[in-house]
Parts: sequence; C-alpha cells; structure tokens
Amino acid sequence: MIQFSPRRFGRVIQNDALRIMRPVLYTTVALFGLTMLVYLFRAGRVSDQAQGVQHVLFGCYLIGAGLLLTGVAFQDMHHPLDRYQYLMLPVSSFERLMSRFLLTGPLFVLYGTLAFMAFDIVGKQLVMMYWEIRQPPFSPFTAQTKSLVLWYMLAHLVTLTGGICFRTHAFLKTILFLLGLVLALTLVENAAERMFFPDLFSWTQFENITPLPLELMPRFAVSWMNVAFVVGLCGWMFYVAYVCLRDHEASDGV
Amino acid sequence: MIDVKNLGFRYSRRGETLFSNLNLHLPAGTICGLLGANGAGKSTLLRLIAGLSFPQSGHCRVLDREPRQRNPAFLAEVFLLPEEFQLPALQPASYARRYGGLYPRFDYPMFHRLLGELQIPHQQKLSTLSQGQKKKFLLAFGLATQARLLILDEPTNGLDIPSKTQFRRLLIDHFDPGRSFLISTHQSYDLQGLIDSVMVLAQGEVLLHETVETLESQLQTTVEQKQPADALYSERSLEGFKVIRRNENGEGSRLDLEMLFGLAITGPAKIRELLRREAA
Repeated sequence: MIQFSPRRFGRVIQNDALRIMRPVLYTTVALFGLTMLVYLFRAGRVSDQAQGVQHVLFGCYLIGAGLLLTGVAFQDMHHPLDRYQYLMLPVSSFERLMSRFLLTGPLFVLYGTLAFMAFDIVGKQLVMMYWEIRQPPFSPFTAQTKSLVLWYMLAHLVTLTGGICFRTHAFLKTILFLLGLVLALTLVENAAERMFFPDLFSWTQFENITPLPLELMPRFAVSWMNVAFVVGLCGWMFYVAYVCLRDHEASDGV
Repeated sequence: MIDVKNLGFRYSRRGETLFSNLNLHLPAGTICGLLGANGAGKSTLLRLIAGLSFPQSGHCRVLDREPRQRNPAFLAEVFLLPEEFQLPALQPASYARRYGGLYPRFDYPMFHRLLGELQIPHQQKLSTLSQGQKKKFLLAFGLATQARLLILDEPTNGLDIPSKTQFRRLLIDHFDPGRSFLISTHQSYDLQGLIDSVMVLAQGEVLLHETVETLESQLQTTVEQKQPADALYSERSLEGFKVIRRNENGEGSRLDLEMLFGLAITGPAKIRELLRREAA
C-alpha cells in the first residue's frame, strides 16, 4: 500500500533539495558564463539567428544538465557507504520517488526556464552594450520550447527509472539500453516488413526500394488520444520506476 | 520484539544458501550480543531484521510488523548503526535538523547533551571526523531518535579504550524495558558486562541463544594448570588452561564470551544438552 504524509513529504523534498542545491548552483554559474560567451561571440554577430541559438542553448542545458542530474538522483541509494542511512530514514518508497521525481522533473524545468530567462536578459543587455543589436527576448511559451519540455519530461522518466534500476554507471547504461532498444525495434520492424512484403525489399539495401502500401504508425484521429497515450505511457513509466525502487531498496538477495 | 521463523535467505539465485531454516525470538527489553565467525551471516541477519534485505522464505516479524514492507512507522522505530558508512559534509546540528525531524520522537536536547558527553566537536563537519567519532555521533543520533530497536553492527570497531567505556555506559543509561539493543561484534570483550543475552550464529542457524544469567549459573570459567577431563571447552593460555566446565557448586562466575563462543562453535551439542538438562 502506498503511504504518503504531506508533513513528512515536505521534509523529504526539503532534504533532497538541500542535497542537490550546491551542484545545481555551481552548474548554474558555469552555464551562465558559457551563455554569456555564446551570446557575445555568436548571437552578437548574427542577430537574425539569435532566436535559434537561444533555443539550442536552452535545449542543451535542459536535456544535458537535467538528465545528468536525474541519472545520479538515486546514487546515494546504490552507494555502499551511503545506502544504509538513506534507506533507514522513516520515509515511504513513494515519498522517496515522488520527491526526486519532482525535483529533477517539473521543478527542474521551472528552475531551468527561470534561470535561462535571467541569462537571456543579462546576455542580451551585454549584446546591446557591445554590439548595439537589439534582439527579441527568450520566450518559454513558444511551440518549440513546449515540445522540448515535453520531450525532456519523457526522457527524464526513462532516465530516472534507469537511475533506480542500474546500480553503477546508471546514466551511461540507460543511454546504452535505450540505443539497444531503438536498434532492436528498428531491426524487428525491418524484419517484419521484409517478411510480409518481400518484393518491396532488396537484399543489398536496408530500406525498402518501393513504398509500403500501408501506414505502420497508428495515427490517432483526435489530439486527446495522443495526449492520453503520452499520459498513459508516463504513468506506466512512473509505476515501473516505483516497482524498481521497491525492489532495489533491498540491498541483496534474489 | 523480533520473531523469526524458518527464515531462508541466499544472495543470488545460484548462490549458496546462507540461512535455510533460521529461528530466533528476541523479547523486548534485552541487550543481546550477536556473535559469529566471519561469513556466518551476522550482518545479513541484521539487514533482514532492519528491512534492508528480504527473506526468500519463512517469516520475519519485528515490532509486530514485517520489515520487508518498509513501513515508515516501522523505520521510525528501528535504528541501524552500520559497520561502515560515511556522513555528509554537515555540522552535527544541521544533520539533526535535517534528519531528526523525520523521527516523530526525536529528542534534540538529548542529542546535544550526548554530543557534549561524547566530545563531538559542534562546529566541525561530520565528513571530516575520524571513523570513531563518526560512530559516536551516529550512536548519539540513534539514541536521540528514541527508536525501540537499536541494531549495532560492529559498533566498537575504531573506538579507542575510553570511547568503548563511554559506549557501554551510554547504552546502559539509555536502556529501558521497552527498548532492545542488538549488537553484533567480533570483539566479544567489548560486550562484557553490557549484554544480558548471547546469540551465537554459525552454519546458517542460531547455535546458542541464552541469557547471560542462565549461562553464568550453568557454566564456570576457570584457569587451571592441567587440562581437566571434564572440561566442556579449554584453551591454552599463559597461566595454563582456560577452561569452561559445568558449574557444579553453583558459585557465581563471570562469563568469558570468547570461551563461550569457542564452546558453542566446537561443541554445540554439549552446551545444548547441558542447558536442556538443567531446564528439565
């Protein structure tokens, strides 16, 4: 049975936030410096590309820093000298998972967006001072940013689950696992297509030489079905992460 | 307080079975010393009791709950002092503020008093303390949580002689009938005069679990020049032979835990037979 106490959860999330505060602050300062350099030497020269550069930077920061942070979120649970203290705290598995999910997921997106907006304002002031070029401000509400955030949230759940399931080199193993999965799915898809439509393929090429006579990917008629599919997938991933956490709370055994 | 029946555990699917049919019962209000050779499964048993490892078969109940459920109310009542651990780069007071609040009955004045008694520097970061000081700090924290079961795995490793005395005194001062301490150690002399029951673990089972009072009334440890024929167990020493034999005359004798461990390992049947006969 899932156990949740708001008072206890408040303490857990506060403790977890304090634990990651220092590396997050150092990374923020480092990325601030990097952003200023990029703005001055890249965006400053090519004003019409500024919008593109800021989105690329935002995406790199969100995905790179966010997924790295997520990958090591449960490092203390796997560390032989830290694990007993962490696991013996009177906290439920759901609270442990929820706290680190929120901190590395939605709250990180919020923090990252606000931090990047601040970087953007300062960076554009500098560009204005040195190059006298006025550029449009970064907006977190563009379709590009929203889609980036959605992709991050999905990748975040996968990385968080990997961080729980893999005891060592969790981030690297998660990436390798995903690459393996994508490769396996591609090979299975290709083999299935060849089996049903042998005339459309040649043995010297991987891709089909003639287009397939049917749509392989399901296309949902209404957008809410897409949303429901993504929400369902995320819910399932969260459940997998929870079950994995329950299993990995036991240090050894079958 | 702890009730284990027919417990089975092994480390991996193909690994050797550590426990196949382990049984033990520890009532509330005891300070129990857990003795065993390397690899006997002492730390594993402590982890099973603390809910950090899950048994594959049998039944393990601690404080009327199943440890494997890892219920927060259960975890608030059980404190584990591991053999090896590291502490974060926090000052003692910050650590207590951060983690003490998760324990419903955490006693902050007691914690600060214990830090003073154990001479833990208040301003120093925990990560920079010596291993012995870290152990003393975590012991103070564990006592301040007011947990009903304290599980201590090799607590005296790394402690200097005055600290070992302090350790024994602290446990005695904070012991009450509603609380139990389960202490695993290789250094049996550190438990002398502290524990009220002894458990010896070997070959995946509890070879001996008896109160110190019973053992002292049934067994006698003496030093003799020649090895006596009626000795249950003997060891050569500088003075001659240290001997454990039946306490025929009922004279009080201080239990030598190391000798008792030797007897339990080499002749478990002898000691069981003796205790069974006396009980009958």
